[in-house]
Amino acid sequence: MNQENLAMLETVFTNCLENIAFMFCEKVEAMDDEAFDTDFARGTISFNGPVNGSITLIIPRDMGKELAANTLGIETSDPAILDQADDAIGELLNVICGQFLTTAKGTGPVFDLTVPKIRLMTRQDVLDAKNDPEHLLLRADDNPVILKLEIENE
Amino acid sequence: MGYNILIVDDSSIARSVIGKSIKLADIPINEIFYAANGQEGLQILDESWIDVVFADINMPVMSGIEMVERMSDNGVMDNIPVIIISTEGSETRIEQLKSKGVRSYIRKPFTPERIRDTINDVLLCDEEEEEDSQ
Repeated sequence: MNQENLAMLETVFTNCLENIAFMFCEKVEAMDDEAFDTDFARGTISFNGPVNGSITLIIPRDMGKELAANTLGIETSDPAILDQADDAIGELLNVICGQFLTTAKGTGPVFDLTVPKIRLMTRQDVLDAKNDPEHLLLRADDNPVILKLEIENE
Repeated sequence: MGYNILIVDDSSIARSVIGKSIKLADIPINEIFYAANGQEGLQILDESWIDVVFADINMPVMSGIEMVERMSDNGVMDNIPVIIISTEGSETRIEQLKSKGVRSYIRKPFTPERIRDTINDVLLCDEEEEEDSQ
C-alpha cells in the first residue's frame, strides 16, 4: 500500500466532503464495533489509464441520506431523500476519484472511470473492512467511514 | 425570450444541483430538460428545441463522449453549444472534447457562480456570432 497515495486520498476525501456536503472528517486509529451497528453501503469506482485501480467507500446508509440532503439543501426527513442515498454515495465517489487522479497523476493523463457500483454490506463485512490495515478509517460528523485504494502494481 | 436547457447526467442529485445553479444564474429560462444518459439526451434533442446542453462524461448506456461524437457527426454541435460538466480533470481529455466542438468544461465540484459565468459566456458568444452573421 503506497502511503503517499493513501494520504492524498484522505486529503481529497476530506476536502470533497466539506465542499460538497458541509461535513467534517478526520482520520481515526480505531472505533468501537458499536459504531458500526447500522446499515452500511459500499460504493466502488474503478479507473483505467496509465495505471488501473479502484476506490472503495464504505459509509452508513443514513450518512448517504445526509449527503443527499446537504447537497440538495433539504431536510433528511424529506421523502425525496429516501431514494437518493445511493445516488449521493455514487456521486461523491465519482468526484473523489476524479480529484484523486489529478492530485496523484497530474492533469495530463486520461483516465476512464466506471459508473460507481453501490451495494449493501453485511455487518461482518463491515467489521472485516474496519479491521483491515489496508483500509483507511475516518470519522465524518460522528459517522464511521472506511476508504480503500487499490492501484495495480503499486 | 427564455432558453431551453438540457442537462444530461446519470446522477439525479447532480441534475438537481445543476438545474438549481442554472436557475440562480439569472438568465431567462423557458424550460429545463433532464436526461440520465447520452441516449436519452439525443432523444430529447430530436424531439425538442434546445439552446444549451450540459453533459457529464461518465454515464451508463451512452457516455457523454459518445453523445458529443454523435452530435458532432450529425452536425448538431454547429447550432447547439455543449458544456461538459464532469469530475474528470485531464487537460488532454478537455482538449479532445473541444476539438469535437464542446464549448466549455466545468469540473465537479463546482460553484453556482461557475455555472452562471460559463453559461453567460457561451450564450453571449452565440448572440455575438449571430449578430455578426446578420
